[in-house]
Amino acid sequence: MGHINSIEINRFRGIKQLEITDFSNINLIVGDNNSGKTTFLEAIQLLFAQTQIGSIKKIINQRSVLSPDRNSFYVSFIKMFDIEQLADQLEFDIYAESSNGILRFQLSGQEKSISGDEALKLSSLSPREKMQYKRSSAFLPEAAKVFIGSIVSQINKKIAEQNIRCTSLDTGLTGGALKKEVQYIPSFGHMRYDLLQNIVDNPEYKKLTIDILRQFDSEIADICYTKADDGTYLETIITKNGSSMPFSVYGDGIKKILYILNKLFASSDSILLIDEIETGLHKKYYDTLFPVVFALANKLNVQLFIATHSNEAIDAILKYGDYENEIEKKDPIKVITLKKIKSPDSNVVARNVTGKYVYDNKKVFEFEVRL
Amino acid sequence: MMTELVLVEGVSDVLLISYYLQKIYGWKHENSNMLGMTANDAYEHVESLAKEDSQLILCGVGGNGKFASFVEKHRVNTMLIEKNIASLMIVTDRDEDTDGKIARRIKKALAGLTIRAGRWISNDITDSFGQSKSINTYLLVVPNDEKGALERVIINALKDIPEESDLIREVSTFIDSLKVEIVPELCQTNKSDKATVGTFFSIKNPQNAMRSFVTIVSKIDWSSSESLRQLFLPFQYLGAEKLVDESLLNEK
Repeated sequence: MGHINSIEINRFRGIKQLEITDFSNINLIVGDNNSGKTTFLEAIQLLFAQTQIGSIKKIINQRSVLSPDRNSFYVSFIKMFDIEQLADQLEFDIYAESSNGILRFQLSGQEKSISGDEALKLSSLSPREKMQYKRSSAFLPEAAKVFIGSIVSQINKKIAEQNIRCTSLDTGLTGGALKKEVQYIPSFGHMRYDLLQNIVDNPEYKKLTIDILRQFDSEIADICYTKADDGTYLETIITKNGSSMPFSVYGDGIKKILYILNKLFASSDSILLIDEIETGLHKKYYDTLFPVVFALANKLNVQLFIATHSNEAIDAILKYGDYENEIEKKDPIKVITLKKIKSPDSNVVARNVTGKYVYDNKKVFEFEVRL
Repeated sequence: MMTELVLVEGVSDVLLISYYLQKIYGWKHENSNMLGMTANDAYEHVESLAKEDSQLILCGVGGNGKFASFVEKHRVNTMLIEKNIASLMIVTDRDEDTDGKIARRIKKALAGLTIRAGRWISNDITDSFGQSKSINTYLLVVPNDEKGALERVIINALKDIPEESDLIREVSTFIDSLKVEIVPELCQTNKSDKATVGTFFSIKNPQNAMRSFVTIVSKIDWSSSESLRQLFLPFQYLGAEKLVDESLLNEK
């Protein structure tokens, strides 16, 4: 599926217009809270969602990964548009150039006020859910909203269009989802488990993973699924003395490492997005983990977009650039700082510099990467 | 916070200007600065000052002719783009040069910025986020209107100070008397000025004769020198709004 070389985001969430070019294999996305880092990662995912409504729904729901709030789905959906747009002219557009050609995702349409009854008719709620609303009409709001529009997706020369409708009663969108072409690691994703699916069935990946885990805990002998008393399968670590330890007894660090590796193996020849890489990881692990992740990404041809708040994580990632060594080579790292500006109009702007530029500046003065 | 960056030649310039900024313009010494600038070697000197919500970083670049290498080593041009710096002032010795020649030499080291002697110039630049901002520049050549260096400024200042004027005139006469036969080298203005200043301070403060300028500078009431007050008037704009020469806005 390839890597992306540049991206242009127009009127998506808080981003009015943003163009970033010359991505590298390792792209650090940094910036203050609410500067657009997660929005940027979502934009990349939408490019590959094509017209699959189910994929779009998953992207919208990512922000509430630990406590999905079904009731606020519509709000999350409509907030994808720039809030300053008129309700009858909603549109956002994401465009990228990739190693395999042009990628484009455009969602446009209009939001209308309708009655609660109309919203119920138009919603994608199941017949049972609709019946519940009818039975307890006191819960049906008098006024509701509906968005009616269309998605246009382009992958190279192939253009597809799909109608989309969402009411304020909807708790999601109904439609198919693609097998994920872009893997995404939310900051607390490792707490949901599901850490082994791309590892245990591949002997090479499994061996590599165990070797890496041993750098953090030398007692680890194997990783596998084991059957619990109630018949469910547990993700388990087997120690050298033969004990079976479910992941729940391990700290966040090991789970985070496994989660990153699991997603990395599923991202071969594609893109892996990691939001807040530092979450759950003690900084003492950075120097061991990051070179392994980057070397593996290089081997599997994975383009990385890594969002972080952590100065220690940034410094550890920059070490991979080996900038003290004066040998001329292509810089593997780009550091993209996003910054919200208020003047003349509210927008997000980006500074896109090489890892070496950041490294050299940080040596000489207080160069603040994150702002 | 507004940051003012002032580059001067050597440690003596830093000491005199720092003294003046503190005594006359109310700046206070700080142990560090927000740019994280520190001296790279024994020849450089970095002094951090603060006043209200402004900070001023006074850098001795390590001597005459070291501006370009200081700017490069400390990535000053990148700093101007990346950091919130309101102005860059450069204070340099005139020696035998004209204002124009000095400005051209300094400009070579400053990527794209215009700098002129005796005028605040507003330079519009684009930061690395693509946003425009302006940086004021000022070139202060010392002495203002005669050949020489900081020592000439000091001699002129001492002549203005009633308590010091008799001694400095006597010392100047003494140094002049050596030029003809005993020390012909003193015919060079810079050397004769250095010798005059050195001799003055040795006589004025014999117990510190072998010590550095740092001990001596605080023992003179420089604030009563009218010539120094005139020369250092541009410092009043540091930490404040500059009186920009609008005829030269964005001139490259």
